[in-house]
Amino acid sequence: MNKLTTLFCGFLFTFVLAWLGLVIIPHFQFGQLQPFVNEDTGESFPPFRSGLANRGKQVYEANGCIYCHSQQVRPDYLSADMARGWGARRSVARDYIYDKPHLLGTMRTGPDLSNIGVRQPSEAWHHEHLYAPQSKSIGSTMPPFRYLYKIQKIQGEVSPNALKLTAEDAPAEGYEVVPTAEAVALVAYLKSLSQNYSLPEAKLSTE
Amino acid sequence: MSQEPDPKPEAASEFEEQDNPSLRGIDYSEETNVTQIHESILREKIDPEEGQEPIPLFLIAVIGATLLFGGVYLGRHWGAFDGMAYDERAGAVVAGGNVGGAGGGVAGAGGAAVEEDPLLAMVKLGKRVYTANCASCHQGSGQGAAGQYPTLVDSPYVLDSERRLIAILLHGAEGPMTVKGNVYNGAMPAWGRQLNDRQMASVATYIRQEWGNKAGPITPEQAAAARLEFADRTKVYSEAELLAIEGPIVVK
Amino acid sequence: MSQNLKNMPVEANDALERAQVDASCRVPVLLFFATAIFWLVVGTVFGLIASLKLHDPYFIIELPSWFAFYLEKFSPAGTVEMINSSLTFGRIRPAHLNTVAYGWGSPAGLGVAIWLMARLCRVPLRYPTLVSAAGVLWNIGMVVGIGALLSGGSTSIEWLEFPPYVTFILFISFALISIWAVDMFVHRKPGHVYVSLWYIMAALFWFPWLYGTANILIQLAPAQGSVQGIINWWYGHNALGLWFTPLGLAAAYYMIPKVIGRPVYSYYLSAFGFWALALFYSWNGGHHLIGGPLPAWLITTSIVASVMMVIPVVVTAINHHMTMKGNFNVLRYSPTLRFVVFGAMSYTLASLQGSSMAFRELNAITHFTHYTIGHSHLGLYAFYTMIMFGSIYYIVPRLLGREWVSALLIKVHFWTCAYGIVTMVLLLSVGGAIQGWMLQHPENPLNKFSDIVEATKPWLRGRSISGCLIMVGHLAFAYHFALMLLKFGRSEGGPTLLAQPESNTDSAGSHS
Repeated sequence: MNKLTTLFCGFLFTFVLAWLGLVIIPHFQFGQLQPFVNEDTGESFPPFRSGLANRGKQVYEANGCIYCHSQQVRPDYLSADMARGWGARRSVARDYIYDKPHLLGTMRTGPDLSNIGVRQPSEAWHHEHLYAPQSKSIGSTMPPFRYLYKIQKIQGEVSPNALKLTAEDAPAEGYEVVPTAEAVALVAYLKSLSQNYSLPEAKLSTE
Repeated sequence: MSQEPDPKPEAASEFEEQDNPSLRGIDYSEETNVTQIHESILREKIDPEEGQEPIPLFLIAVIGATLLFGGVYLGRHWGAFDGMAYDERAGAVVAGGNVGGAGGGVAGAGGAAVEEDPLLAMVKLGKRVYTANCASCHQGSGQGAAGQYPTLVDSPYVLDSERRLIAILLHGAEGPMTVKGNVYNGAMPAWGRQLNDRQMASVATYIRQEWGNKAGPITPEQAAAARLEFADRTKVYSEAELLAIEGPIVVK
Repeated sequence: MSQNLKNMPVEANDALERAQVDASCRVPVLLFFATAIFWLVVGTVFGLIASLKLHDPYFIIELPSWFAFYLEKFSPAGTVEMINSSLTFGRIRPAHLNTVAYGWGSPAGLGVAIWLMARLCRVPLRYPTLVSAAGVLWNIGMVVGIGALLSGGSTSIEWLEFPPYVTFILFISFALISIWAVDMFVHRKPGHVYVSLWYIMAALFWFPWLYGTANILIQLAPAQGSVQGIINWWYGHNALGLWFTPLGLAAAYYMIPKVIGRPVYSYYLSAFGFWALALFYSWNGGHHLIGGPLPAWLITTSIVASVMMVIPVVVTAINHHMTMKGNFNVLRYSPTLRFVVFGAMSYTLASLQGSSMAFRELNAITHFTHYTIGHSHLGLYAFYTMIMFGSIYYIVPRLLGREWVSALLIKVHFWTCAYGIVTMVLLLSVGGAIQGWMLQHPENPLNKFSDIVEATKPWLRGRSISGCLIMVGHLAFAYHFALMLLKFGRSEGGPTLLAQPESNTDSAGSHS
């Protein structure tokens, strides 16, 4: 193996094989999926995210949520994801066609979030949890995202979107904690996270 | 090697081919004895070469066995060369797409569905609905979380009034609530839009017979009737309002 | 027909040639080493902070209030929020990964590869300014990239968090080195092409392609959803398998036989191992997504390829072992050999562990847990980083004409890092296995998610302690390297060894 051309051809061949198999073929085989349209109701799945939720997805990305949270439900014959209540069916490629970039994640220091919008639709809960995770999940190691919130003086009445906090998390007397635009967007994104619809290739177990 | 080379060749362009284009880098300023500069180099052995031992026989056997294993595994778990074929289990149904959940599989892949006791089917569906929607707060054990999510085990809210139970599911509840002597202060969201009548009836039926609870089932028709009755409600319930709702659901 | 080359003296011409090669390499290679060691320390600090935050979420979450109060008065609006936000785990953690992978790992590997290329091609380094420019460009990219990450500009794609304008800079730098390597190879002295050269040339060919494709198809012209996922992990795994692994193996294949003065056991094993690695490794990526939203054939293919990796790994292990056989006593005193052999053995261990983790049954438990993190540190640190440490210990005296200042510092470095990484991997593996087991068994009421978090905390605390050990080792190493750059080393008196070699072996100084 003393000639550059021999070596080069070998490098090229072995590399191209896997490149074809893992990049090119997937792109053509399941990389141009169309949403599934329900003929009766006209709804298309996966649902589009609102502009606010898309902005929230950017907040999710900028703050590295993927390093603790995954967004993929594994099948029930392989894992306990569904038994944990993380989804009523496994995730499939079509669930992610609008995700740029994908947020599949590889760690579950925190729970999977594919269907967090289904099992926790309360905005107030999310805000309180983001600001002071331990107040909602005892012993949680999730970092408090205080910089997504503002502590401001109460002007007359308490703001309607002020967080209801207790004890050590509550601000000083006369002050309130309100979400910034980023926090509002992030919660809108979390509420949009739902794979709670059936597809021909994957039916909900709750139907 | 016996003379010191010029420190800097004249007018040398960086990219011109030279005999010794890189002697510029040597720092001769501190040492006078050339052999000492190279001591670490002098003591080196010759650069490595490669021996000609053949590949041991046992290794060829190991390689062969690994390849064989790989081929067998590939064959058994290939599924199909289809972008929609997700199930790798040997013998999984492929045509028309796989069904992801065990529950869906009962209805899905061909063959006559086994006639199941309808009540049992409701309870099973209810368990799946409960797991997917309720268990994250009320837990798989039904015991909830102290101070936040009330226990469902032996809870009057579950066992007593059917109307009240469906009302809670439809519109949610908030504020302090006392269940079996313990105070809980959480916020339960409204599930009316997310769960249809069948799902709501099934989850209510499930929790009324699980964990030692013993109360009668609730039918989808009852759930529909209750939905109609409470259709005007737009806020979550407080404890006081809930305690004012009593009685069974009567389907007209 | 392996000859006993132990007692063959080096020829004078060879020595002069090597002196010229080493002198020509000095600035570029030292630039890459200095780059690498600087970012190693920075990356270790990030890693330690991230580790502490995992079990202590209130650790450094914001500036102290008195400081923030004054800072707010004298800085543009939002400065305090920006600093506070840069401290969150979700940003520190990718800062750690990118710093150690692209700030330490790649420059260290490149420095070693550049020196190896020059030595094995047996020509003085051509276009040193080009190589140095690539090094400077690299540092610029790193600074801008880490700054972007910490201020919220991460792409949130694992292993590719740097924004496109940074990856462009790094890509140019890579491309420059790759082109340089081809030029060197073409101008090499004729003769047998040694195995290390195959690995280096391959790595320098594969990596720009990997890096470019992944960045284009995920960021610039994104593929759809889960196709991005498989491209992401095609890239991520190949960064390990087709970039770091070949560089590590190239170094091991040079250092081990070089230091003990014996040939590599078998050319056939070398060649077979190389091509088997090239063929199988690149298909592994899908094993990061087992159970994920990808068709079965893709996942199964990756699992099979992951198991096939046993072949090149065992072949390489036998090759190295048979080369070392009879010479393990050298480990007593040669720092280079100690680090490199530790690394080579870890390679075997990490790869076999990796093959086992690809099986769906085991993967169901280990996926998404700290077990995987233990595995990645076993590979990237115990294998790759330790080999790079050993290689740097060998190369630097030859570039500077000075020996390492203190055997004690080397010993501190070795033992803190060896104990540190072994402890870290063990703790993460056990903690991760517990975590995974509990995750898979929710029917047990003691396995609520909050219980799992509690159960992993002691293991994570232990990992922080092992991280402190490693930090000490890295500081010792960085200090030692700085001393060398500041001309503190001896220029005569033999190499800095960890113990006295036996007197009946050959020239006592030849093992470093």
